[in-house]
Amino acid sequence: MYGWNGKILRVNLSTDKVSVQEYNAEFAKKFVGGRGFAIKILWDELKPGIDPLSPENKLIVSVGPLTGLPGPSLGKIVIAAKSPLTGGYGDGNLGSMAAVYLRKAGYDAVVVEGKAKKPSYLYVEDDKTYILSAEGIWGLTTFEAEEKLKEIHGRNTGVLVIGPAGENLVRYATVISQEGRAGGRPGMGAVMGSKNLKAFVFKGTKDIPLADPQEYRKLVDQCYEEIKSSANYEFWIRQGTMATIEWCQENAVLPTYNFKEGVFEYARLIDGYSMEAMKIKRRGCPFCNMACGNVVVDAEKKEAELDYENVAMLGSNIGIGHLGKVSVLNRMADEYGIDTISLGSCIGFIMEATEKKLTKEGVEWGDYKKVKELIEDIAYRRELGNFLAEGTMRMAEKIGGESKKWAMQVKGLEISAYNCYSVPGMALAFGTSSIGAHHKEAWVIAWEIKTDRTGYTKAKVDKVLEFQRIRGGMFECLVSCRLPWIELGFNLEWYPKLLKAASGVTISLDEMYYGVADRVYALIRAFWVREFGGKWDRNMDYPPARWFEEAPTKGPYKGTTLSRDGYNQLLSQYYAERGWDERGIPRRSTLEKLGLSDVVVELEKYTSLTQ
Amino acid sequence: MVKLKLLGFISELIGIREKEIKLNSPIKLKNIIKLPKNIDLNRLIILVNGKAASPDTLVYDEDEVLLMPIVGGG
Repeated sequence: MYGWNGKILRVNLSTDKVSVQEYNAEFAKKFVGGRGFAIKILWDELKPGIDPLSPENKLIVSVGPLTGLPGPSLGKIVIAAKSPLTGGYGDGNLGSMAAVYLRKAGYDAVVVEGKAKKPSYLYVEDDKTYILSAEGIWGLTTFEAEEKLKEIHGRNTGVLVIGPAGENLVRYATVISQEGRAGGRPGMGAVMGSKNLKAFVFKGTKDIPLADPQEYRKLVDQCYEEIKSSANYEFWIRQGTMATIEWCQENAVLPTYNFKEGVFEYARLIDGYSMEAMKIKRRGCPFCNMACGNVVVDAEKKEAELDYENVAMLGSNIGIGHLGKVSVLNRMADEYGIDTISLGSCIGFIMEATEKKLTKEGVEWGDYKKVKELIEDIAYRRELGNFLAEGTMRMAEKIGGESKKWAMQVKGLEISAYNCYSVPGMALAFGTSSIGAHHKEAWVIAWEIKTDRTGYTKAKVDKVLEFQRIRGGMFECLVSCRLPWIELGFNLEWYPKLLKAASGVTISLDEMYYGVADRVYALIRAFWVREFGGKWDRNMDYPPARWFEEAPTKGPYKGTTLSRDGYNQLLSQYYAERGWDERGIPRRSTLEKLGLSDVVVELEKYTSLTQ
Repeated sequence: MVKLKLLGFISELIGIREKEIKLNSPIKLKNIIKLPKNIDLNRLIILVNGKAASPDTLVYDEDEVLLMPIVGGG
């Protein structure tokens, strides 16, 4: 089988048992890879209701049929499990040589279950797999641990590693690679920590066979050339996603003071131009010719890698208007293995609680020194940090009162850096994102501002669906970066061509969207519904009350909020288009149409299905 | 005076971040600014006085025009 290795590595850390599972071409075509493989395995194998931090949870890393091959930003890997932050399906992807070497070792995925008796790490070298002691590595930061592992196993390895936050089960601990590539926002690092698993180290030396090597090489050359010829290329190389600070400020959607405002008085001091003055080099994912990692020297004279989301959430959202200091906070988060988005949201939340005098111990807006201490305390779950390590949903439950209105999360996952009080389509994208509020699946805000910013139209629903099919579906299953397309206008038609040349298999864009992507979305939704059972309802797809009730006081859209009726209408239209019922649960006919008849039988044990 | 503001790579390509232009009579937006051939005005976000506009929108003296790329955020 070209395109896929056809093998999944299975590791049980409780029993030290390692095995290899083979799968067939039908499975490959139906779920493609990455997120598709992950949700299929979790749906089939995970016992509903388990504690995500128990040995019963399964952690999956998976790649796609183009992974490990030269090509536009194809060096990424998915990490997935039941999330300790949301209780539902969780995943994330990151660019890493781990993706390349896993594929070259001969596997498309690794499934880890159980819990090691002592801190351990997994070392895979081609056909050999070892569960090794992490003595001397456990407790190190992600940067230190990766360096140590490379000293042991050589530079030609790919490493996925957790820091102290993952070890201490911070609910939004991430997985880090190559000092700044981060993935797995909904606590995938904590799941690793709960299994006493410090790292994956992959070393692969096998060739990846291609169905049509000549054609593939020709296509790849053309792809790279198309990316480089984009009018935006040079500016992108300079600023990457950091140009978005200015863009969001101008459009009054920059999260500021825990999303109370959409403009920040010191935005200019943390924007892409300020970053350029501090920049010393770029970093990127394997095989990328538009690397977006901006490496700067931070206020402590150390290197830090910046992009838009972490600067907005650890800058404007917590009132810090000094990019050197924001860079320090961001580096600390990467070293400890903490998601910068949730971190910035949790800190913003406690700052607002302090302002409202709802906590005994607090932090003032912009208090850089205290924030630094707090980040360390979160990673080690000390004092106030232990409270913040739980995420905003649980923090609000504890503080009570009206605080849940300004806990800026959906389904437990903190909203990434776009303040949507006046952009309902983007609010819908956050509401219906399959892991909780994340921007990676449907970033419709630019299109929305270009066309009809405040309207509640069916066109917005269609755009969210279109983007979810492309971004959350095709890209997450191919495990390919969306940025060449969305930032530089790279043509989507290249992907079926690359797939055909690599694998010999034809999957059209339509099949990718209405077959694979819709199937994966329905299965992820089924997973959520099975986990929440009778507690599931459409309110799970609602953004926080702040966006409906509290208008910003500054900027061109001050005084504006979302309409509940309008949002409700968009949500109903979204469900109808997906073939889901008014509760947001896939209809029986939808599941059957998508080839998920087996899901019907299982899901009916937990809820009634609408025809 | 029309206040023209450009963001991101558009600003870099044209070499202008902000500019004021005197208009004696209203003209279509596409006639106010000359873009390089590889930039399609239809693919940019155009706001006139904060509202979505098109290349054919008439611009009046005292209007504020903002041109920016569609960015992806991350």
